[in-house]
Amino acid sequence: MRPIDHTIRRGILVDRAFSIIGWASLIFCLSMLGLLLYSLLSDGASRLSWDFLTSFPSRRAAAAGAKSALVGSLLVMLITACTAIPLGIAAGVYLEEYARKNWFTSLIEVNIANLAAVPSIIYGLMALGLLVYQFHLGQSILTGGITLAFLILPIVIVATREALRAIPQHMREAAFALGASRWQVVRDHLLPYSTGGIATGVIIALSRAVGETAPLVTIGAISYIAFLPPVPFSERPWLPATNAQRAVARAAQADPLPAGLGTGVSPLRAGTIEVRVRPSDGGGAAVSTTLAFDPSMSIEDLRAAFDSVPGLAASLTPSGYLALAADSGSEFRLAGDTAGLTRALGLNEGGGLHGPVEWAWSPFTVLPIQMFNWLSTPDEAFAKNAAAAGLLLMAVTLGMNGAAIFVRARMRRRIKW
Amino acid sequence: MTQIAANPARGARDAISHAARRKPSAVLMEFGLLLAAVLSILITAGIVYVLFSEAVPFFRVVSLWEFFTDSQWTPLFDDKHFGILPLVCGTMTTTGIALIVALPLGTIIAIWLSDFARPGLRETVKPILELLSAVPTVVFGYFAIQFVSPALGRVIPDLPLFNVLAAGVVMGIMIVPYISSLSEDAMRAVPMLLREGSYGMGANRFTTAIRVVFPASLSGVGAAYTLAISRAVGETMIVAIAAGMQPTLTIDPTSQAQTVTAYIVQVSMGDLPHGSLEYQTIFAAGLTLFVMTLGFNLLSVALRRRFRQVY
Repeated sequence: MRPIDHTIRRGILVDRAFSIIGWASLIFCLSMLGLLLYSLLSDGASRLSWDFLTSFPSRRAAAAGAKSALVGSLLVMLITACTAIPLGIAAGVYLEEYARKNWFTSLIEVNIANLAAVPSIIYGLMALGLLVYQFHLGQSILTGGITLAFLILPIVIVATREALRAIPQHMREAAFALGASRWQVVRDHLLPYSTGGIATGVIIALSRAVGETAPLVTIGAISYIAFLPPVPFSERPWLPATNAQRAVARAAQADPLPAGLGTGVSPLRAGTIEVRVRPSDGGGAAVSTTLAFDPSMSIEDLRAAFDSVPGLAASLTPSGYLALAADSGSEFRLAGDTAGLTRALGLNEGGGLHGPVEWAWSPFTVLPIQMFNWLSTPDEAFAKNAAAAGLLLMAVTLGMNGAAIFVRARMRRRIKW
Repeated sequence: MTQIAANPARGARDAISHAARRKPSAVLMEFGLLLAAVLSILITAGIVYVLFSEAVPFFRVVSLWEFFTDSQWTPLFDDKHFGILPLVCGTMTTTGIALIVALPLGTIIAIWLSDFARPGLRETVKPILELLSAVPTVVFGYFAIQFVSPALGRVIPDLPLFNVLAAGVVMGIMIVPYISSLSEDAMRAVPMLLREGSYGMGANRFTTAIRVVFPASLSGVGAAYTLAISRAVGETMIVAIAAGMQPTLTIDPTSQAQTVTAYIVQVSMGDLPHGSLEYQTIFAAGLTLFVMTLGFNLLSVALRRRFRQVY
């Protein structure tokens, strides 16, 4: 038998060795986080400027900015937050405070646990098949926001449940004993006490949604957006001659036009569309012409019909796009579209006021998609833009996680049952 | 009603039971909350419906036999082949490399945090480590292609810029916190009594951690592992950015490969007409992915449930 002090010394040595290995593993992982930040900073810090934040994407790397991506991320997050927070908290409250223990409840629980681990790209496929093509919401901010809300719903539900579970049972019993109804207990006691815990979970969930790329790529978020979604009740410009691009239909190569042409989202119907042309100096009344349209018309018939309107020239671009332009010195707008033509072809109507929620139907890009797009451009100069976008993303997500840690720490200090 | 006068106590009870009877608004409220909870089932149903409704027409044209045995995946070329194996192989290789990196690191950190680190240190380190999994995956993709791949290229000659190795290594670093946090929770849940018993027998910390704590927390650790695997299988942006876009049936980590998820991204970036066979391929690929991750998820749920019942 070995002497006991030898065994003890060996044990202490092994412990020390493992302690060092543990430190080393931890430092390795943290140094990777450090290296990642370093490589982003060394490539992207020089591109971060006010101009970068306020410029649209561009074909020239040095002039490109993240304006549309920032606005897109903000609006998508607005929809996500408005959908996921109330639904997630409601579901969490139901499961924790109302649900009886039966097979249906445990089905919901297993289902939520499973949903939390479904790859995000699967949510994108679901949204593509269901929201885009079945519910006709288009490849819009609304679709993107709802998709991400579905994605983070399990996180919000689990956070709500854990926050509610942390409240001691006697708080509920005290309220019930005073004659409060279940809903009064939830509203006046449980939700106020669990605000901190729920807020922590919501912040972490939203920070995950900000960085999500794959599901939004799948639903077809466009990576090159050089405009902002319409401001509610702002006036749409009439379409001038010099800006024919704005009236270019998206894709019209098929002949005759198939239903769901263009974006493949909006069906075409028989109907009419009104074209109004007026002098662009603002003086003089608009001249109105009504065109009849039926879905069997070819793209060439469509061009001829628009071309016959006085003061308007219609042409097909080499790639098969329909372009409308007013004669010089005048401008035009489309109105009274009962054929669904403007949506199916992506034609800009011009004129009138933007609706209060029209922005939600606007095509969009978000920060991670913009970054991915710059990263997959072969030109090495765009990698700097990607790094700058990455720095913005990291600032947002790490900031939100920091806020969550802060909220959690404060909550722990304040609440003592 | 006459009984109220006859029996005052009974009347008071009636009045209370009337007040306590649930108002219609309360019933409506509960129903609203129930709907929110049921939404999660509708989401799952939506996922299953979309995947199947788009994949079934695909499998009418391409037989299951061809799908699982053809060794080429070229749906976007003129010479079309629909063998999912190269994509699954790409997914398995990247996942394998990620696990080789993440399992040892994650497990060592978990053991170290639960049985070696001081509590104060543990509470500081854990949130910082979890920041790793909060980094957006597209940023990890940037790291893989701009930093790790060139760095590995300096060590391994003739390494192409797009390679499985860099993507896998970065993915591994990403999933370390999943493994370390969940495993550490499982290890901390092991009762102190077991540790004290072991120390009382003269065992040192390391022996206690490896021989007593680790086996006792095995199902929780297993749940953490399976969750990490399912994350790696479903990870999209890192592999789409860094592993390349060439479906190849190979397990060579220094070559390019395409994963199931990267293929879906590649197709989504283009503009395929709705309803075409090429469009349906992403749903067939998605269904394959869903089935793969579902298996791991259910295993993880089962393991966690068992682990909860132990103590």
